[in-house]
Amino acid sequence: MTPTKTKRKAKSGSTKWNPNIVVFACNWCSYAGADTAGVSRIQHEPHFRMIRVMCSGRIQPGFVLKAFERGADGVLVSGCHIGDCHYIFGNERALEQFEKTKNMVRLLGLEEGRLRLEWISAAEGARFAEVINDFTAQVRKLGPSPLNTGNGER
Amino acid sequence: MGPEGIAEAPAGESTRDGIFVCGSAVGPQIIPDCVAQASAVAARAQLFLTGHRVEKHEEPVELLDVTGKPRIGILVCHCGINIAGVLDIDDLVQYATALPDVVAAAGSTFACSTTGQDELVELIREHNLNRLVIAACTPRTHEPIFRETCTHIGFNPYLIEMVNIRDQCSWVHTGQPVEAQEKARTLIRMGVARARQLEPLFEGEVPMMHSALVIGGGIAGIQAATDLAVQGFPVTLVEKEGQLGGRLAKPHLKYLYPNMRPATEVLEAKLKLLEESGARVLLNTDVESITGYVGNFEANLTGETEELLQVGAIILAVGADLYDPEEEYGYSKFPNVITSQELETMLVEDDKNVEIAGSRPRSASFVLCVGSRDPEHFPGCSRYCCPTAIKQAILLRRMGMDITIFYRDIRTISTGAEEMYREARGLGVLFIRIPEGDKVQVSGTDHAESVRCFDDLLGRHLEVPTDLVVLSVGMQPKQPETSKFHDILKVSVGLDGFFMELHPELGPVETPVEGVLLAGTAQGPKDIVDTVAQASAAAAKASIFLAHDTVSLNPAVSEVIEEKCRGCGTCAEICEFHAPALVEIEPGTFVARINASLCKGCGTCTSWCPSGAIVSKHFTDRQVHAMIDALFTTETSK
Ligand SMILES: Cc1cc2nc3c(=O)[nH]c(=O)nc-3n(C[C@H](O)[C@H](O)[C@H](O)COP(=O)(O)OP(=O)(O)OC[C@H]3O[C@@H](n4cnc5c(N)ncnc54)[C@H](O)[C@@H]3O)c2cc1C
Ligand code: SF4
Ligand code: SF4
Ligand code: FES
Repeated sequence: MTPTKTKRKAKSGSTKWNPNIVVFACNWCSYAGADTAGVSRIQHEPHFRMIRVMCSGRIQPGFVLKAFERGADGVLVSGCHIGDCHYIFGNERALEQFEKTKNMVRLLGLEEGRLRLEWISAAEGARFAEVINDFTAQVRKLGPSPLNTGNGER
Repeated sequence: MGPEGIAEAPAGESTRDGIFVCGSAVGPQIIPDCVAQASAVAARAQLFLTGHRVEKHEEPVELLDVTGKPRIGILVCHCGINIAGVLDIDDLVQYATALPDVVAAAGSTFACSTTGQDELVELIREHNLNRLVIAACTPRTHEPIFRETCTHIGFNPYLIEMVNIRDQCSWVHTGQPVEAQEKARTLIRMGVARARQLEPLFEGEVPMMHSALVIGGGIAGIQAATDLAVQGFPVTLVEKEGQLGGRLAKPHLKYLYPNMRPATEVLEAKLKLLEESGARVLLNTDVESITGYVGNFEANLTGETEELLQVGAIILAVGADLYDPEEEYGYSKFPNVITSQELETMLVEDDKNVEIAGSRPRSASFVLCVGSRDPEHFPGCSRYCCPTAIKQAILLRRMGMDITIFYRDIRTISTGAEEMYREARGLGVLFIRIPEGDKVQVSGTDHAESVRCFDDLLGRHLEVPTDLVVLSVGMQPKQPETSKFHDILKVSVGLDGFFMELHPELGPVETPVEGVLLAGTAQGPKDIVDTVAQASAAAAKASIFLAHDTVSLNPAVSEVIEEKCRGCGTCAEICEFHAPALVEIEPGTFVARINASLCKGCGTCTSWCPSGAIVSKHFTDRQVHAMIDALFTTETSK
């Protein structure tokens, strides 16, 4: 996405710019929460793509950095609520990793608001939808990522 | 047949031995109840077949050759109109055909149906596939189905990638078909990219313990333990109180709807069967901790019996608590405001007379939905309280009292409940409807004297004098048990706070933890008929695990590449399951090794290893990176 397009977006409200968001989710809670949103037909913003791993503990800084380097406008890291991890400790470790990741993302020159961590349970379909809508709005406000070279999918 | 012309058969037993009924043939009911009941009758039918259990011997199948360059096949599922109603399936099939290494793509009306599975097998065989991408629903419920089909034909089940275009696409972006189509295309592209990196994995095996532990000796636990023990599985039933029966045990319940049989009689009958079954019963015993996995759980029992018990499966039947109204409706203030449980206990003492503070009430008011259908306490319906209030109202009416029932909706889902409701009306019980969101007011000075409310049907305020107020309290998650077993077994808890089943239709008694099953009110409020059916279903499901001689080990675990490991010990330190351990391979040189039967495959160690020496199989760096790359690469050229 080129900056010219951003300007066009700023002029007309009807052709909203749509961000490209990557969501990393653990199999047992946040991915399941997204399924629950589906079962309950809770509609939400479609501008994200989900990558499932077994536990948020698997989400290493490299995954997030790669997503940004390839042009993601926002990255959401998600897992079970603290205390609920299917593997007991994975999300506590994910939290520590996330702090490191945040620093690295800052070094890339990206705004903090492009990266978010959320705990979402298997039952929280409505909350999943809310988080997606909210994060999409937030990233939309920030506009295209400066690392977004424009050949990414829209 | 029952009076309604529907088969008379609580929990599946018909009036003829060896013939079982289930589903809506028993009475109108929804799919989750039908499925639980169907499993229950299967368990009952098994009892007749004891000794004739057929050992399923699986013919060893010849493994298909999956080596060489990826040859990917894609099946795009319509799921009837669930997906095809929003997404253009033909476009997706065409799109997929152009993706790298894809050699075949096809649509399927219902990929998980028998026909769909046949199509899938055909696709694999015809195109000599070595990777399979299924764009359909969620892998959480359906991957096992596709894996099984593939295993049967010798296609390695770990070479399947599911793309979720239903639950996470067509169902949630219904009004935005253009965006949904674009999303589905990208997800398929990502799925193909991952499929290209998949590797075949092979399941190891460990012996299965054929015994079971049932936690909680209420009617649910009694039923589940009996069903399993009769089939010859060693069963231990632990009950933390000094007697079995839970809520049915004296002094809790008097007569049981729908048949109005004394609770003691029903309980005695069940206890006799339990005794005959040979299940081991441990009273005054609790469970302190549980470790292990399906086939090899180890439970630490405490209390009257202290032992380390090894079992293959666990049934959670810890029951439910009742809502405590505290200050509401003058409960803690007025002696003549009581809960439905307190009234029931009084009826157990004497079912001809009710006495409150030395005097016999001449009128009584029932308040329904106390602590139920209330977003602040329990958003759901407790299911048992409407029929219970009607049951109790009839008893009090027969003693000559004037009865008023204040309700929001009368829900008579249980068998026989609607008939009871009609009987109550016939006897002159007054039903007053309260508007949604409104509550009645109980007023008086030192005791409750009247109930005031707005009558929704008459459209005006009413004041009904009363000598007794009965609060029909809802059910609440059993504490501390629910939190405790959630913590130690990792069984999910729903938003309502009760244990959550794996899936309402596909796994109504299962949990995400293999080998751990749910029975009775521990899973959510229900009455005895539903509790018993669910307990039998849980036993039937447990017996499926227990009948096997071995448990297969998840091969999607983590492995250390020893050449890369520098023996820092980080993995051993962070893994809560103690799967990695440092081994001295030559004096002074350590490397980590991961015990595959202890590793759960969470992948946390992989992301922490400073040397990048660990591979989380099935979720390798390469597989994840391939998905990220594909997400941002639009060209589809091969
Ligand atoms: C006032 C009232 C009237 C009712 N009337 C009717 C009726 O007429 N008809 C009808 O169908 N239903 C009725 N019900 C509903 C019925 O009581 C329940 O559906 C049923 O008893 C639930 O059985 P359960 O086994 O799930 O739970 P419970 O009966 O609660 O049993 C759970 C058992 O587990 C034990 N336990 C808990 N934790 C542990 C632990 N950690 N270790 C070991 N043991 C443990 C408990 O001590 C208890 O014995 C009524 C309920 C109430 C409150
Ligand atoms: S963390 Fe990595 S380098 Fe350290 S011991 Fe474990 S496998 Fe070896
Ligand atoms: S994958 Fe998880 S369970 Fe397995 S060794 Fe690593 S940290 Fe432990
Ligand atoms: S399984 Fe969800 S965070 Fe670990």
